Amino acid sequence: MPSDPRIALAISALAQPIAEFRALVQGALTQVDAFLAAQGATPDDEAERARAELGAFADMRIDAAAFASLFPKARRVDSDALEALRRATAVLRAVVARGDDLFKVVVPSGARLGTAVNAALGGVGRAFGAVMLAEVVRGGRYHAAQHDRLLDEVEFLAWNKVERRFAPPLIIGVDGADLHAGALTDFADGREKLVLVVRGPCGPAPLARCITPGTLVLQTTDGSGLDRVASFDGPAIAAMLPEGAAAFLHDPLGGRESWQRLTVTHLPDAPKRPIGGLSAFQIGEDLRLLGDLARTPFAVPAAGGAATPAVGASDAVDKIASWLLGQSGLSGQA
Amino acid sequence: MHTETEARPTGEAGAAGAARRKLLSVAEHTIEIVSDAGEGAQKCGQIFGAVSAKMGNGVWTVEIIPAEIQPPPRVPDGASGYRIRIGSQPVTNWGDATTLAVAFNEQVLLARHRLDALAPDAVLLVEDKWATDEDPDIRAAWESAMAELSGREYRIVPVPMEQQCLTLVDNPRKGKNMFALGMLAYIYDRDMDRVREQIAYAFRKKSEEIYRSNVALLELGYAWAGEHLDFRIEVAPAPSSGALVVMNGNEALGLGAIASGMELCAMYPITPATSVSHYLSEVFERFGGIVHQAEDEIAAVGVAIGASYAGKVAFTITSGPGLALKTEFLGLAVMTEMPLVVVNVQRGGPSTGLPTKVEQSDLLAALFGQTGDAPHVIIAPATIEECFHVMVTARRIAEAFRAVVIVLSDANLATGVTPFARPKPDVRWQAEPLDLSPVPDGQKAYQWDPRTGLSPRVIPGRPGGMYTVTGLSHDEGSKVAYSSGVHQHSSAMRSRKLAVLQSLLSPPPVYGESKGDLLIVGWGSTKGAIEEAVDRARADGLQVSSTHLRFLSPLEPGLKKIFKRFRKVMTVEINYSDEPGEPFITDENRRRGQLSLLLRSSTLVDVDCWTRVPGEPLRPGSIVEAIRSQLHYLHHSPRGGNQS
Repeated sequence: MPSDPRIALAISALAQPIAEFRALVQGALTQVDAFLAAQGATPDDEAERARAELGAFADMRIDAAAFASLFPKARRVDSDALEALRRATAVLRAVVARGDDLFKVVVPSGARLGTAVNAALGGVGRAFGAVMLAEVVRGGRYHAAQHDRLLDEVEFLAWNKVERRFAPPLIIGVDGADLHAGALTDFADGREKLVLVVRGPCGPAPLARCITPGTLVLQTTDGSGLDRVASFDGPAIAAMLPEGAAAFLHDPLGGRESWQRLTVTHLPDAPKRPIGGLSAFQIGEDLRLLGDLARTPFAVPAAGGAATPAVGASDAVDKIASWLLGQSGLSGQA
Repeated sequence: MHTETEARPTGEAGAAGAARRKLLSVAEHTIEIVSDAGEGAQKCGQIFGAVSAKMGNGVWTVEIIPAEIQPPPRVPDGASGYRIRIGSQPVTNWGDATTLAVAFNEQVLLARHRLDALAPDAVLLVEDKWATDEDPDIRAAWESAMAELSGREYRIVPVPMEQQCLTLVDNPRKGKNMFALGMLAYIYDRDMDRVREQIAYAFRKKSEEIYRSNVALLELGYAWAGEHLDFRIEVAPAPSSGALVVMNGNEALGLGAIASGMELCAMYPITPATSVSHYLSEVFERFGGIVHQAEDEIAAVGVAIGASYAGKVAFTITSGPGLALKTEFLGLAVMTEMPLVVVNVQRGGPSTGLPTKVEQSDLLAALFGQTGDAPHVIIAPATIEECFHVMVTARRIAEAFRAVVIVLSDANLATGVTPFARPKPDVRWQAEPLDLSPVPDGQKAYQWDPRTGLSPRVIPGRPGGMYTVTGLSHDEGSKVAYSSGVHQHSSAMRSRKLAVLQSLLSPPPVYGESKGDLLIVGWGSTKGAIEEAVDRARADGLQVSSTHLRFLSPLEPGLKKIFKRFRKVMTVEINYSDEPGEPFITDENRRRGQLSLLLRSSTLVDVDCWTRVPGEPLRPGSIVEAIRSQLHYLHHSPRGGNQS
């Protein structure tokens, strides 16, 4: 798994959300460091701080030392609060020190996918608690009994709206046999991005059940489409699967109807045998669900007014509906 | 005028053609693309400007926008387009005249000719389909236009743009701009991969098919130019000066707001300010910010004030008419000492005025527009780069001084694009977390320092920090008080803050020699044109210098001392002033440029002015003429100097 080139591909594709999360953590760390340094600041330090705060436009125009002398110094906090701030800093530094590993999870064979993702996000999510604790201390509101818990791990389901917007992306290595995608829907919120790198055989459309109107879902065998996962302003679940699996993109911006949002570029036949804990029936259901969601409900009228057979309009009712709509001129667009 | 009546045979392409092709190496060139509204000339110009900047040229761009949103086609007043001045050095303004123009019809070209926008020897590439149009009126208009243009030494090159575009697309109106871009890419030897990248960016919200169609048209224009034009123009890149970014002033303001930790942009759409919020609406949320489009200008500033009261860092953006509507609420913000940043992207006025055109006519309205005594800060960025950095300073001053800070930008900065040094963000630009600790016993809502008028900000929710916010005159505890002593004292405290801020400011630097015959004083977007004019005048031996003000309230200190070192001081501004010698105009009743008026009252120096309201940025050449005129008067009149 660590040497799997698909991991590097996913890391590269998710560079933007990774950079955003890092910027959040690094920015908070820098602010906390500056606050700690200001606790023992000299007048020169204060002037330097004022110069930085006023920005480049004020360079050579505003006397930073005189400015600093006019306004209160950084808020002084007591030793308990300072200690809490240092603990918060340590958490932020630990998060930064993990580098790209922060965004990778390997699910051991036979382990539950949802549990592994929850644990990973819970660890990373301590950064949010650390940022909040730092804000509380710097705002003069720290109470140990109330705020020390902010550094505990908190599972994703307890994250607030803002934290979910800034959630770190995760690249998850998992055996195909353990890929029970239903567990992932718990994390489809905010701007969380989950990219599965699947090892070994798996069902051909495991992510079909993750498709909901507002979630971008991608299945790919070559990594194409991951850039869209990174840029989508909402939750996204993607899987890089072995050759032969279904390939599709469900893009919430595609339209109101599921067939407008879903583009299936490869739809294999259903396997006859079970894979992992999933029966052939369950696997077949994934494919049927995908086919149903992608089916165009009616036909596009051909030149001259006659309706062409609708894509997927295999039964008689669909054909009649296609013909009627074609005749009435009310047909939609394929 | 030299008109090429027919295109060269295609056989001239290739090595033989290239051998006869002239390569003109120049330090700078100014290009315009002009069309009817909706034909995409601006998109073409924006892409060409961005690519040129990315290839290392100094660049300054200006939009040419008709007064109407959809003027009728083929009328001179409907000319819509884009001017790009590119150079081998940084370019700070739009220059004097266009040296190469691409026009989609002869009428828009005529408009530029009549505005004296074209250099006498400009090369004009013009769509030639109108010469043979089936409508006799159009053919006659073409002939008439060509006759008028023949009064100059233009080189006119007819180009079958539509005929060429029709080989690829059904509607050439939607493709000519990319064909024109291709021609320009050939003429100026632009990196075609960069051009394609920029097209992809420009059409990032469109389909792949549209991208491909545009690229095909681009390549068609490039190939056509390669076969039929006998010249190319080389403008070497500027010396490398580190990492650069390329953006317009409104994008810079928006990005600066993000970098400074602003959290709320409350606005109501108004040209030319709206694009700040367009930009922010795409990215602000990623940084924890919100763009709130209110139901009107008044509500927008009200929302910003409310957010500021709650402890957020808020700003509102507008243009002249919107500033007028916000007047009452600005008074409230001053009275309640709510930190507030107001960005006014100035346009021509009064009333609806010139919505899309540049002017610097809101200085006095921004300064004195409020009722009662409402002291506040006014800052004017002078470059697009400063549009970014000014937001950091404005936010910090607003919060530290509990003050209203008005940032005066203008349409020239708003829509102009130029490269500048990539900012290095500093987290200290952003606000400290709110102080939510208990308010110390006895501290009041306006605990004015009797010497400075400054007082610590009290945020709702702090234990012990409850107070009534009121626009009525109030005492330190925010209690309504009508006694003369309270109003006198609180007025003094609010006013004192400006004096304190001025005490922190440095005198403005002088561009050129520190003494001489004439000092030009400017503010806002005219800096580049003024300094270029000063350079040209000094090269001719004239003793002229300039200084450019950023702080207009309070004014930067030491001005009188600087003025005294020159025989004459004159402001250059894009606002209206009466011309001496015009009927009824006397020295006593003459209405002067707005900065001039301000400087005269604050320094008691007889500061003259040269102002124009042409609906376009000032040209350096025009300023040079004004300088010559002033110096001529100075040297030939015994009372010409303001120091006499």
